[in-house]
Amino acid sequence: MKQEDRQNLYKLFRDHGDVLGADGTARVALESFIRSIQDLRCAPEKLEELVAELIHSIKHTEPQITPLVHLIEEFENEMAGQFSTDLKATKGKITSLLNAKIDRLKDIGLQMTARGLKCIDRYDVIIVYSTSTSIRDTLVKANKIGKPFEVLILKQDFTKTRKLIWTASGEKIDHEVIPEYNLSNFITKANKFFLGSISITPDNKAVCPLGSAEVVSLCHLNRIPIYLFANSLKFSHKASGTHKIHEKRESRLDGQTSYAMTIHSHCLVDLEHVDFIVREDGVIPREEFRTRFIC
Amino acid sequence: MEGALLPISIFLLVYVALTFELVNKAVAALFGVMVLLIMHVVDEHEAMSYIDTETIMLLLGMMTIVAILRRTGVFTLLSVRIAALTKGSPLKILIFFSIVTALLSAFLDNVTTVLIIIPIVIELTTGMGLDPKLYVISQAIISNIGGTATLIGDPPNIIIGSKVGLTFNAFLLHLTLPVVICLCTGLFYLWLTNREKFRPIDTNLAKLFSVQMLLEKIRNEFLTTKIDRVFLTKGLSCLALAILLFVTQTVTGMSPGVVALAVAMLLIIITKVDVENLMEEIEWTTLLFFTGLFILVGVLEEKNVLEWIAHNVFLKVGDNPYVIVLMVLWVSGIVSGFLDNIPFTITMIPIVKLMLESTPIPNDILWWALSLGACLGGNLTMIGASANIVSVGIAKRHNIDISFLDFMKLSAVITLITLVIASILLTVFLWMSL
Repeated sequence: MKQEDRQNLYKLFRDHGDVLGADGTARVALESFIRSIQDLRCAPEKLEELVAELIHSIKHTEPQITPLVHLIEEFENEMAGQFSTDLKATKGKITSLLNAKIDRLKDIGLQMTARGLKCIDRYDVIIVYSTSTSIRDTLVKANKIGKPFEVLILKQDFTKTRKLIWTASGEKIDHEVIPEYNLSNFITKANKFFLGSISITPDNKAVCPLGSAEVVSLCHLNRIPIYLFANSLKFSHKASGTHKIHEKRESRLDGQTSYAMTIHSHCLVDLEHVDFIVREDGVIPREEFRTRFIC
Repeated sequence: MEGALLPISIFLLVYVALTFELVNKAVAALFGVMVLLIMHVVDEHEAMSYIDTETIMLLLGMMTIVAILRRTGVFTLLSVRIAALTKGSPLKILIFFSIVTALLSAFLDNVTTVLIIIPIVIELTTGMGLDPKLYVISQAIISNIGGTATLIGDPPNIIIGSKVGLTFNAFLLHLTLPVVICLCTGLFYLWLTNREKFRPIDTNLAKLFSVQMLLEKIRNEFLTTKIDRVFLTKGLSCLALAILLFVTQTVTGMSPGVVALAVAMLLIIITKVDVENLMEEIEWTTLLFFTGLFILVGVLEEKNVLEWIAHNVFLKVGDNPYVIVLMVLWVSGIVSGFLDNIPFTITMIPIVKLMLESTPIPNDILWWALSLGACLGGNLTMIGASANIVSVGIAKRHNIDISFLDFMKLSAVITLITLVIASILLTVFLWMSL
């Protein structure tokens, strides 16, 4: 794969991440893998090489989508020695294994929603910043079962917040949209902050959507409990420095002033500031997850 | 031509202002009219009588129908579906989108078509690492070719149909074949000269994967409104009704202008759209521009200027019908490539009428020559048609710079090819008619 094509692909992953979150992006990637395998025309002996090339690209996106990396690594192990001269059979095997991964992702999503529901109490005012399938599904479910609560949606650029606003409007969830930089004026109103992430690293960090660290700091300072939604697939065994947060330096022109600006795709949140981690196997308080998961 | 000097001077000044975009086109035309009124060259009642209300009604009606239909999101949905069908094959992207562009521009206006199609084409091609310029330019060209097929597809046809009284069916019957042949030949030329860029990608798994990821992104990005099925059904039913009434014009006796405006009003009533909001989407500038031009040309006609041009320029070539038809086609084609084809068509209609009085040509062939020339000629340069300018503007917003020469390198050859095809077909048609 050419470097330019690889960079285009990584950008696509980031674009999906901005709209769908890590789990949503992983699902789209797995479905795309299945469809592309079905459309592929190649000699049977070439398939293994092509699959390996694609897996390499998926595992090295900027930043890494940890749930996807875990699922793809599992798939890679399961496919070892399974490539045969029967192209149709191999394609069938790949499709069924990938479908199983999608099902697993869905199961985890359902369990996350069930756990998330326990984090919402009557008359909560919850700050939501990032796009996360688990958080969105939890809010929808809580609303459906009639729990009264309000959501403060922190608006970043519209692409990133769009899905959240649509969900809240479409599902008639009591909500208010405020600019992210205006949170301090609403901070006394809120009593919880739900945060999404793409990776939890062993050095006590979470890789989160850009701007999350600032919201976390403000909430932590104001003693608002922070709930980090991170299923088990998001736990990485690699330190935060290796997660390749994308960095872009671009030249800008505002009026008569030109300048260079550096933008990162994600930021690191210190887990010391997080009060609870919501996993599919339970809601774990800070003291406990430090001893259970962090090196 | 007594007292013609002032109207001629004003008309030429308005043309200069339009060509070099010195002022807004409606302002230019109406300012010219105001000067004529102030100088008592024409009075206001006479001026109003020159306005072709049939054309204005047809334009206003179609603009309203299209504005409401755009709100349904159905065209964007269609384009996204087409993008998925291509599965990232560069050749399929060209062919499938060209077919959709041609069909849409035959029934909607060309600018609306490229506003819907071009952003999706750019997203798809840039995301795949293809050269988006080729696809943007080709879709602009195809929209102009497709719009040639029907009475409502392109403003020159609306003007010719309304002022001459040619029916919707007559346009379909006489122009569909040339348009289909021009479309196929144009696509073949694009493929032939860019074969390397159209190589299939279905042997490259990583590329196929990227395309699938990209298609999902396009779905997320462009399908931003939920389709309201009731609203959509009402919109499409009214469009179907309008087309049915256009087709049965000879039976119902309803002119296209009456049909378009009546259906537009019906659509507003049954969809209960916010009229104030809707009115902001109507291109009032274009309607006022048409109004002003009709008056300016009407005055020239009244002062026998157009008769003089017809006799001393066009009829100087003699009375050979083949020469006359080909001259109208090629002059229209070349002039429309550099000047706005709307004022050109409005100016040419009285001239063609005079030519027909002097040398009768059967089966409205001279009108088809004018239509083909004015519509296809818009492809000659980047400034030849509104759809070209809008397409290049959309590309620019996506950081894709298309220069005048970039555009012309591709469009000029296709324009020449399509005009040659039109020449052959018109010659054969004339030979069969004589």
